[in-house]
Amino acid sequence: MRMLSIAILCAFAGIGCAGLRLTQPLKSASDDWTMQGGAPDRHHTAVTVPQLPLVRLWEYNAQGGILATPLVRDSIVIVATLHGELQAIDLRNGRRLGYEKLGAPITGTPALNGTIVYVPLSSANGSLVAFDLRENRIVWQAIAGPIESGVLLERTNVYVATLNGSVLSFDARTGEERWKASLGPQKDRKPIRSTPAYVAGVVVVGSDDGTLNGLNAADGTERWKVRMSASIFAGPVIAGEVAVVGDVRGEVVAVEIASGTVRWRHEAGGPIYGQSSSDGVSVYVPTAAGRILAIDAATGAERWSYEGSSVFNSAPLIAGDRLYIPSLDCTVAILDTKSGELIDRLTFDGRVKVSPVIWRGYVLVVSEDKFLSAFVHKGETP
Amino acid sequence: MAAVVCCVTAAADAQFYYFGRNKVQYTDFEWQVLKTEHFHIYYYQGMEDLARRGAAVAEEAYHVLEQRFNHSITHPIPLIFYSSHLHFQQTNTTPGFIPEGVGGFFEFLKGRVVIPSDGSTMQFAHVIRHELVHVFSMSKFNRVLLDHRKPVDRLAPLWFTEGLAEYWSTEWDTQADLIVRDAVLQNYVPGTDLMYRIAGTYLMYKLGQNVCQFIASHYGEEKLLLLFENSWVSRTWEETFKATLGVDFEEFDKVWLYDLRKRYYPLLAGQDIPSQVTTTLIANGFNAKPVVDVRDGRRWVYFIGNVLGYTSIYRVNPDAEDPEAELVVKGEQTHEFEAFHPFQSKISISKDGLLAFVSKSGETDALHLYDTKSESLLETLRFRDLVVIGSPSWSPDGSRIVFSSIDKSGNNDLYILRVQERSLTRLTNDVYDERDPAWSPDGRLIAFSSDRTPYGPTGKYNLFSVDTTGVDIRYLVYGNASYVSPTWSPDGRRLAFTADIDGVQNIWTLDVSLPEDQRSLRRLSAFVTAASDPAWGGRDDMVFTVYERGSFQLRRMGEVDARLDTAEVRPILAPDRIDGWEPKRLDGAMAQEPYRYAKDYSLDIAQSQISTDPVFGTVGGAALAISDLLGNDQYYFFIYNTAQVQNELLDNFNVAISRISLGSRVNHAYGIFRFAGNRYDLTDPDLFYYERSFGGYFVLSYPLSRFQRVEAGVTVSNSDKDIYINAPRRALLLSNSLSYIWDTSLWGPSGPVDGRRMKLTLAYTDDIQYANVSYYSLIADYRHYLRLTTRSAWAVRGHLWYNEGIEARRFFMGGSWDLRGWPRWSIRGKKLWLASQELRFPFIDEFIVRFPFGGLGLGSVRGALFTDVGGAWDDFYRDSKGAVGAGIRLNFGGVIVLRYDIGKRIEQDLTKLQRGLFYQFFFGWDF
Repeated sequence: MRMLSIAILCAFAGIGCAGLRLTQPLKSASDDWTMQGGAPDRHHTAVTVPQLPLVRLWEYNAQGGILATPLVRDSIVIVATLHGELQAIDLRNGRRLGYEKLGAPITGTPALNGTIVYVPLSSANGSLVAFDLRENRIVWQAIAGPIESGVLLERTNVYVATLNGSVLSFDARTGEERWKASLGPQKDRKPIRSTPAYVAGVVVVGSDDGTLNGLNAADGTERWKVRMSASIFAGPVIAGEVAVVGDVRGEVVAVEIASGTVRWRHEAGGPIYGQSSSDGVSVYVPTAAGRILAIDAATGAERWSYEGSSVFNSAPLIAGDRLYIPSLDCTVAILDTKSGELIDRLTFDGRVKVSPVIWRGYVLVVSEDKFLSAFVHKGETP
Repeated sequence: MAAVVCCVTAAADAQFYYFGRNKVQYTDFEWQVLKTEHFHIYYYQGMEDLARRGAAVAEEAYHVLEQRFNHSITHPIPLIFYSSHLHFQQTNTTPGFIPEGVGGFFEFLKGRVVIPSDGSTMQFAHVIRHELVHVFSMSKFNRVLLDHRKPVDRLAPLWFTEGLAEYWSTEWDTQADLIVRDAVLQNYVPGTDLMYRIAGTYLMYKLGQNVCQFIASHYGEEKLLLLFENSWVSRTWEETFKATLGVDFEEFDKVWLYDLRKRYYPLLAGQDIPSQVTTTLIANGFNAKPVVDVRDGRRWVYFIGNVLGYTSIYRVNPDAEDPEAELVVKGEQTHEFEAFHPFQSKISISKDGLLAFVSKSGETDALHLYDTKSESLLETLRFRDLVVIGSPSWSPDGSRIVFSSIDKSGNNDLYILRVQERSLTRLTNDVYDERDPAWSPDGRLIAFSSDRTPYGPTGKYNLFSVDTTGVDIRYLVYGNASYVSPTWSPDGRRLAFTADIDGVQNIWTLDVSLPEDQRSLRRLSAFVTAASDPAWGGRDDMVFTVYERGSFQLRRMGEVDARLDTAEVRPILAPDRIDGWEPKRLDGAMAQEPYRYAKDYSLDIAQSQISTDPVFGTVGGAALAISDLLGNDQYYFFIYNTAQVQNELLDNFNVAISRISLGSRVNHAYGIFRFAGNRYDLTDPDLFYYERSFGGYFVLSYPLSRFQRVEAGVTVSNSDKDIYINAPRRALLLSNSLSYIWDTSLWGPSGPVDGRRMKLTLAYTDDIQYANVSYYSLIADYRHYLRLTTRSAWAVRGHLWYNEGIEARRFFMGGSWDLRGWPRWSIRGKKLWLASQELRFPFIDEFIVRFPFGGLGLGSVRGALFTDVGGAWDDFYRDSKGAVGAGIRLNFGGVIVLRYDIGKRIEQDLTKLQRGLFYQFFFGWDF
């Protein structure tokens, strides 16, 4: 089936790639990467663990900057670009299968449900688009306000946060607005760049106003609010019972999901622009000061730290006992999650500021200025 | 040939221009390269320690900035260090001249950062950080725009880029506060939308810094980063600003300007505007470093100023009812007094009336001794190893002079010169920045200002004394403030100086006649802006510089004793730590071993062009320029073709290759060329011909000084002309030329307003194979600009262009640039003369068009009244022609001058005025 869908996609691609149509549904699997962080809790944990060392299988030129994490399902990679294109790529050989121009930059990571992609656009109008890959059509489009953070998809609900300072929920099937929550009074309202996370009926999101907010997923009402030291650009990660997030002054806070009680605070020593990741036990926090901190999720105790040579501004990816850390020094460092020791390093021509993705044995890395690379274990094709 | 030379020298120095001053390469630098993690650092022998200090600062700044910008630089950044500003002025990394006030620059073509030391490690670090902000800003802007597939031609306004560079490289200090405070209290702060009116000024830098600081404190520091991240949102900066901050310029200004007024207006309750409480000596322009000569019952204040445009030494009688400046030593026109350093170096006068002062004089600074009685220069002293000299101070007996100086290492130390013996003793030898030495009246001690204090790393200077052996250095004043510019009272009991205690730089005194443990500080002035350079004008009188309304004025204050009796008193602190501080240096594993610089060439410009001409058809060509990282060697490649059909391709193939070498004092250029195609000779309108020429040229330029040079050139070319109405002409041409150029002009908004310019050229062109061509040329061009007032001038010029011999070429004139009112190039001859005079004066200072442009501001509009007379002839002189009229000139953005003239031609051998008027619009600077 997968081969068939790719073939059909290729057939359309042969017309000139100026369209993106998939007539067969994509086959779902547990290791699909369908949104930022891989799941609503944004854990950034891969199901499969590729063996090292890795070699580059292919490099794809997207013809535009990429800040969104690639999505993968059924050997098809969906990439969103800053010049407003949604592109489909054959994972096995890196060939473009087609693209669709959506008219505005895509900064946040879309979410994939079946063959429908929910795409956040950085435009004031029609800023959330549900695009059907099978039918090459926009299923619905919502005016939410400019969005520069990732889409949260939880069952049949879609959640987005906007630069207008609101969080909105839509019915994933119809696009009907379920609720809209504006954070703070109109005159003090600040943009939201933080990608929302979800757990146990709570949508957690940070704001430029320096607050971490827990909203009831059902109606958008405030469940709790925690003030931090500065603006929050990074999205929270759910680590067991707590949501963990860092702000641009480097304060990391763990808040109990249920009560909104701050369980611990930690000074990371540098601005935090990127989302953290968590395997449930530890939280891995990237800082712009070039340090990765491994923090005990329960206590906030620092287990280890790793000093890199440049800024870390996107979430590390956990794969078994390895941590893949994208860096502006044009590398992805691979560390041991237990000790923080460097195991290996992937190098690129450009900066790496998007979290890697692992699907089956493929490791996907976005690097500047517009490239997507696939790595596999040396001598193996997954 | 002329085309080749013009083309290849377009980006080169003034050396190969018609007029122009010279960037003289006095010093043979032996360049080294130090590679660190993020930088390639270029420095020369003798300054490795400074380079390692700079490297440490740069690496530290890099790590801070990559966090602030959320960005990294993916290639090594070239950092070019000079150990002094005088060496920096020799750099070829930029073709232009570098003024005294430029502390460094980022050149974005090759991404080079070029920075000199001024003796202060802290200032050096500040400039490194400042320029690195520019490196990151440029890279970040480009990255964001490229990611969004937007053209990378969007730039933030200068006030923001420079303001951010200041905000992220230094603290808000006394100097910044003084500039902004004066602007607020005197009500001349432009809003953010009008900041272009002060573009490039120090005020713009500091207001820009203040805006960034305000954004960070009121809207969040992260908004500064977001202004970059959002640069793709709109083509206009104002929209990006609004998208990021949520307010437009007008709304922002309301809050920002109100905040400034709230902060500074209350200061007037306890402090004074200087002009309200002191006596004016000189109020206009920039004036600094006064010293008072009290002899024979008469007083003169000598100072450095730019009262008449050129920075010179002047004097003023402080006791006159209406003091007026008199010129003492004219600067910036001769090799001896190439440039004074008005904000760095004090002057000193001995009891016998000998004025000691410093000027740039060729490769280094020189110390001059000027007899004020005979009004003559007695001596000029240069010191082989000392590059920059500062603030000479006479010993009381007039036998010695103490001064500060920067040697090749970049460190600023104290030296004593025995004037008669010419012997030099070094008093200090370390990385600390020693400034403004002042010899005590009893001859035992020298007071000086230095950052050799624990507060030095924050940019503070304390006062010290040293004995004449340099062994015993002691604190005079210690504390967390900058205490500078000490000066002893004539009786030696008091030391006056300026200090920014409480954040405002004012004059304070210290009673040094008391035992050290009983001394205290007394405030003499309480100005709301700032005072500097205090000088005793007798026992009870003081002269000093103040900053007010954006100018540096000389002012006087009497009754010093009485004022001090009631002055505010502050205790003097005992130093809690005697030792200074040690700067960080990058070495060991952090940097590789330095190695000798090998020329590293990269592309400067590559440009192709296609044009269509109704006569010559379509022309296609390309030009390419490469140069080495230090800009000393430049190559130019030029190729174009005018063929209309394929088989004409070779007959119309043009190519030229040139190399220009600027690395040593003798500049030279050479190249080869091949030009072929149909020609239309402007000087001989009857000739329409095909010409094929090829050959080579060599040009030498030797600058005698910044103002004078000699040029010599030789060209050999084989020239074949197929003249359609005559027989073909073949020639092997050998051309020689020798020129002398002299230029001391000072420029105003539309052209020179002071100084002189001259060019004399002798040339001979000969056909050494067929004897078809043989003529000599004489070109004489003299221009004199006489300044009438600070803003008006009378300009005259005289030209003689003379060609004589076989196939001597014709010159031409007519049009806005020479003989006005006459059709362009309508007057032709092998001999030609022209004389002009022009009165240049200010007409409209600012011109704002509200509708339909919504407030388009035009800068200075100048007026002119002119007369031109000239004539041209081949063998027999025919008649003279002339023009008389008036015009206006508009300087557009400092780049182009638009000219509009109205007048009457003087016709028929200057006997008859034109009927009606001529109207002429063109562009270009006044002659």
